[in-house]
Formats: sequence, structure tokens, C-alpha cells
Amino acid sequence: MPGESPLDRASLRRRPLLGGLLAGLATPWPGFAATTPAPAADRETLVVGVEKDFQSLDGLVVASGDSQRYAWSVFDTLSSFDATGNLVLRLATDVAIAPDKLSYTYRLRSGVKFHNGATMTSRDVKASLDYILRPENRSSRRPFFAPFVAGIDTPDDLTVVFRLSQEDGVFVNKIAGYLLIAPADDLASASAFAQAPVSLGAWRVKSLKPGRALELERFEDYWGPKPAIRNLVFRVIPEPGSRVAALRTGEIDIAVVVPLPDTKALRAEPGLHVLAAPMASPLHVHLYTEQPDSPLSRREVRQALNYAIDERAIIDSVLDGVGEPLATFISRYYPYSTDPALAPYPYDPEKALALLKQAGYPGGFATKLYSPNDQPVELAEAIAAYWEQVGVKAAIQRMDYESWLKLMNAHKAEPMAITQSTNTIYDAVHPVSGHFYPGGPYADYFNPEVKALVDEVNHTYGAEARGQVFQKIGRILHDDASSVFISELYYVYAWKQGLNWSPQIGSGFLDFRAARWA
Amino acid sequence: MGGFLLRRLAGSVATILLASLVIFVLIRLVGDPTHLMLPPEATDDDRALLRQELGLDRPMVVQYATFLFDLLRGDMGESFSYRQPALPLVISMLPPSLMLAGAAMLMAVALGVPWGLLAAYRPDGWADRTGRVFAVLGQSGPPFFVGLLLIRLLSVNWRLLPTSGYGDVTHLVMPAFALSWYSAAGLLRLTRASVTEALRSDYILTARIKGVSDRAVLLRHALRNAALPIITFTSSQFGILLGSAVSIEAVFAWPGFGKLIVDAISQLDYTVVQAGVVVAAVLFIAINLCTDILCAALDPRIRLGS
Repeated sequence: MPGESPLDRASLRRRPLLGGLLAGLATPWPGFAATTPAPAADRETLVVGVEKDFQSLDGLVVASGDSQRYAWSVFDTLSSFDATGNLVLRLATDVAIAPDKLSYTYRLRSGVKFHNGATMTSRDVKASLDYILRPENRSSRRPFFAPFVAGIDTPDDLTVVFRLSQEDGVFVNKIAGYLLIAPADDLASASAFAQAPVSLGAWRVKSLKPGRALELERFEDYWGPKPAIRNLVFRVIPEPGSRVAALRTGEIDIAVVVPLPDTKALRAEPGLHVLAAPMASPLHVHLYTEQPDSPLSRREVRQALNYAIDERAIIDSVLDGVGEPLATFISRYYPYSTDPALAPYPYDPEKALALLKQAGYPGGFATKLYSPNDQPVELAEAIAAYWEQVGVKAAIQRMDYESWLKLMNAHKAEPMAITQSTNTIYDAVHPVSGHFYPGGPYADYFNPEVKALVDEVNHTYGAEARGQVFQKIGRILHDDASSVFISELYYVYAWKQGLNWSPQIGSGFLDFRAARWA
Repeated sequence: MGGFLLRRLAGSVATILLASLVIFVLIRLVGDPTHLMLPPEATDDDRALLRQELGLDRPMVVQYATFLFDLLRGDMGESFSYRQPALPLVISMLPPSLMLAGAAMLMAVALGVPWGLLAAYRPDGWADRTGRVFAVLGQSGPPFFVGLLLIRLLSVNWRLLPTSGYGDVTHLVMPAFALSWYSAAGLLRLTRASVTEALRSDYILTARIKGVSDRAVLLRHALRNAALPIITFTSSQFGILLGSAVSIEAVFAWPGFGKLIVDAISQLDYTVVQAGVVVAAVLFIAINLCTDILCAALDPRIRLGS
């Protein structure tokens, strides 16, 4: 009944038989030997257990999420992001933006060597972006650049000028996140480049073994501080339990994307560091609000759905405590963007009932909730159970991720779907415009105020100024309950205590340039 | 024999073409890979451009005709995900899969056949009783779960074997056993049943009356006559082992053919799926052909092609 939490934590912890058994396997058994603290190989080698196979190493083409594991080790960029997502210069020494905002001039470092011994020039920068723009290369980055880039000039070897056809307030972030620099001559064969890319990163590709491992060796002519790790090995271990087991036996030094049920047990084990790093990825229920006869077109209903769920309880129970209640659609782990004073909706089923009554749905209504299989089914079950307490009966439509994505892309996952949103450029513009700007790929909620602010942010420059606009957007989306806000998402990393390393905050990029054994 | 092989070859080509056609159509009905290859920010024009680059904008009949023409030249296209030719990629994943399935098959035969033989020789004896337990556990425990238990016990707790990976024989022991248990259990039951039936035959009674030793009765007479269903079962199990190795490949990070295909299906990597199905069809046809020839060699009553 209202006022009581419908799902006590014990009941939420009940998992299907198989899940329970697998979770049980994560707990140390009698006779368990403690994690081996020594390096898996030697003190100059780092072995990282990753969850996905390395299919193509062409970081200029593959999806950003895929390249996050190796991109910062093999490639380098004109500018990049520090540990918390602030822009920093790398291969560029200076960037100047023309007063009309239609031209960006980057001055390059001199004498920077590629893995093949060639020296980087502006020609290589131009070739790298041209490579992205050519449709035949099928680059996932192309949609971010093609509508804006009018041309690239190289007035001298150390100067490159990007000319834009229209203003793009986030262009510098795109250059930092998407434009990996490769030598012009090596980009002729996309297929060869995908297997052994040449760039300017601290390590170069030694071997790529599909389904097994990616082995990198330190590039001795690297332009930056020489990393302490000579050999960097990414071992592909898709099964999360096996990845954790490999860490426990000392076969790997770092396990990425540790399964949430294992987190608590690993934290209790000596010899390991365990850290949950926020992904700047808001987990939420996406709402289709544009059908006039839909209950979701009423703000009171959307607010009621937010008041009706206990985010903290869901995080503690379904996400094993790894999460953080979400106040609005924009993650607070972008370096700017969110108002720290904005608080998540409190759990208040009485208020939810009152709002439903006010909206003309005193007895609730029936609806559907799409749930992709990359999220735990218990999440959808918990949300539906909370809503049922206020009369909203959500039938869960569970499906594989690809089918769900197809529905989302076609705007057919209505009336609501669990989803998350992230990007790799530490700016909220793509998630926000994608979800809330007319014509956006997932735009199923429209608000003229938000549209106007997105238009404004596309012409707003600098972290502080953009942050102010995003804070306004975040406040509107919160107040208008554009979505049902659930949690910030985290990746959990575990590594040996003898290793000095910390994961990137706000993205899944893996950065080992400063890693060293104590 | 020559006529039989020719007829089988013609039938095999038809089977491969049919399999390729079915998977060609099915994978295209499942979805559009451009949704997975491009970010959400891509426009409809971006997707249309990519479909054009991939040749997916042409009528399906034209696409299939092109596929067949390229197939004749041994070219099955470039993997969307790996950006390398699909056929060599699929073939490169075969040796680890064949090694795993082969080792699992050997383990299954080494465990199931002698155990079944002993169980048939002394019904309700210790071998029969323990065999029942082994068979029930093997046929009720999912291989991936057995695999996780083995990792926990033999790798994490006792540090006897590596948890996962592809390397020397120590990497092969656990995945092969986890994969073999189900087949070993089936072979144990089948061997027991077949040999028990053979031991009740008149020719066995005759052999015993003639003073043939128990060992010779069991191995030379009963087992040989019970061998045909065991061989047929074993060959069918090899195909099943290859197919069901997917979960074991994931648990033990074994770089196999099965996981490659499953990943390709989830990523709608058409070329890899098509190449995988064609290669699998060729493989299974070859296994079946070898089985037929072996059965004919063992039983003179079987005449190939008659």
C-alpha cells in the first residue's frame, strides 16, 4: 500500500536460480587462496582483462565505446581530457578560435614521431579527418563532423585550420574525443590499418589476436613522458566471473567492468583496489510524451512516476549498491553541466497518487515498459512493482539489445523504455539534443524552452558558459519530468594493490600512461 | 563407392546452397547493421550512405547473386566489424574450436565407452552405480556452469590450472572436460544399453559355450557389434560439441568459431555469419560422410550407395 516500500530489499535480492548460483560462485570458498599481489608477468608488464574482443583497431572508424579501451594507448590527439574530463592540449600547443567561430586554428608540436618513424605534420591531421569524412570508410565519427566541416587548410607543417560551415559550440571537444591522428600514408589501406594502426601513442601494436589478446609494446620515441609499463597486454575474457577469477589467481593485473554482484566481495579481499567509476551515463526511463491521448503527455503523470519509485532502494538492491540517484537527464559527471543544488525526486507515493488524481488518472493506467537485455531484468521488475503500488500497471517487454535499439531508432519503443545515454566528449550536447531536440534520433519529448536552450548551447563556447545553459536545461527536464530518473551508471574496476593506477572518471577510456608498479 | 561419393557431393553442394540462402535471408530480416555501426546522431542520409557503401541498398536477389558469384571465387566479403576478409577470419577460428571439440570428444569417448562397458558387464555393480550418478550430473549440469565451478575449484582455490585463455594443454583441460561431460554421459548410457543388448545375443552365448574368455567376449564380440550406434552417436555429438562450445568459449576465453558467429549475429555482421554458416555446413557434411564410410568399413552388411 502507498507509504510502504513495495519491494523490501530482501525481496529485491531474490534472483533467479541461475543468477543466485553465479553470484554464489563469486564468494570465496573454503580453501580460497588470497589474490596474488605480484604482477601477472613482470614489473614492466601490465595485463588487463577486458570484456570485449578487439575486432578492429581502427579508432577513427569504430564506435567510440569500442575504441575507449585502446585508443589512448595506441593513438594520440590534438587535445584530450584530463582524469575528470577537462580539456587539455596534447599534440597541439595552442588553439585559436576565429571571432566568427567558423575557423579553428591548431598549432602543432614539432618533432613528434609516429610509430613508423615519420614526423607528424599538419598534412597528417588533415588526412585523419578526411579519412573520417570519406563515406567509404564507414566511420562512426562521420556524423559528428560531416555537417560542420567545410574544409581543412594546412598553411604550414605545424598549422592546421578547420573551417566550419556552421557554428559548433562543441567542436573542440569533438576534436579531442574523436579525431585520432594517424599518418597520411598509412591511411591508404583501411583493412591493414584496422589490424595494425600506426599513430603517436605511448605504445604501438605488437600483435592482435582475434578473440584472445591485443599486445602493445612501449614506443620509445613517444613525445610525452615515457610510461613505466613497457608491455601492455589486453586479454579478452568475456565472461565476467572468469575475469574476476583471473584477477584472483593473479593471471591479470586489472579487471575492467567487474560484475556488480562481485563488487562487495572483492572490496573485502586483501590485496585489491576496487573502484566504481561514474560513466556520466544517466540510467532512466525514456518516455514518449507526444501522443495527446497518452497519460505520459501530462506532466503530473510523469512527475508521479518519478515520485512513485525509490531510487536508492533500487540501486541498493538491483545494482548492488553501485549507483547514485539521478536528479535530471544530464549526468553530474561531466566537468560542467549540472546544478549541484538539483536534488533527485524523493520517494513519495502519496504525492504520486495525488498527482495521478489531479491528472485524471485516479486509478492509474496500464502501460508497457521496454527493457533491453543489457540491463538486469530485475531493474524493470522493480520499477514496475513500485508503479503498481500507485495503480500504474506496466507490462515488461524484455528483448535483446539489437531489437530494442532498432525500436528506439525508429521511435517505436513506446510508450516507455529503459535506456542510458553516454558519450565520449565530456559534453552533454549530444545526449540532450538526441533526446530532446526536434528531429533527434531519440527525441520523443519536446519542450520549446529546451529547444531554444539547445539552439543557444550550439553557439555557446567555454566550459562555464556552456555549463550555465546546461544547468538551465537540466532544471527544466527535472521539473517537467522529461524522463523517469533512476541512477548514474558506474563501471567497477579492480586491480592489484601493488599497481598505482586509477580509472578515468566520466567515461570508459582506459588510460595507462601514468600506471606503474610500486 | 565412386558413384556414392559423387551423389553425396552433389547433395552436399545443394545443402550448402540452401543453408547459405536461408541464413542470407534470415540475417537480413533480423535487422539493419547500420543502426549498430553508426551513432544515434547519424541522420537517415548517413545510414542510407552507409547502406550504399555496404551494398545493402540493392535488391536482395542481386545481393544473393553477387554473394554466390563471389563465393565461387572464395571471396565472402569483408567483415563489417573486423574489417578483414570474412572467410579467412572464420577459418582462422576453426583450429581452436576443432581442438576444443576434438579434446572434448576424446575425453567423452575415453570416459563414456569404457565406463559403459563396465556398467554393462556388471549390472548394478560399482561401475554401473557410479555411472548412473555421473550420467545424471553430466546431462543435467549446463556446461558453462560446470566450467565456472571448475575455475573456482581448480584455478582459484587450488591454483592447479589457469582460469582461462588459449595456450598449452593446461588451458585445454577444464574447457574440454566441461564440454565433454554431457557427451560422456550420453555415450556411457548408450554403450551400456548397446553392450547389454549384445551380451544377451545368441552368438555371445555360443562364444561363451565355446570357452571364449570374458574379456574377449566383451571386447571382440559384444563391443564390436554394439559399435555402430556408438560411432553414429559420437559423430553426431562432435557436431553438437562444436555448436554448443559457445558458452564454454566465453567462460574460458577460448577464441573459437562459435563465439565468433554468435557475436557476428548480435552485431549483424552479415559477411561473417554467412561465411560461418557455409564453413559449418561443409564441416558437418564432411563429418557425416566420414561416419558413413567408417560404418561401412566396420559392418560389411552396409553397402554405401545401395
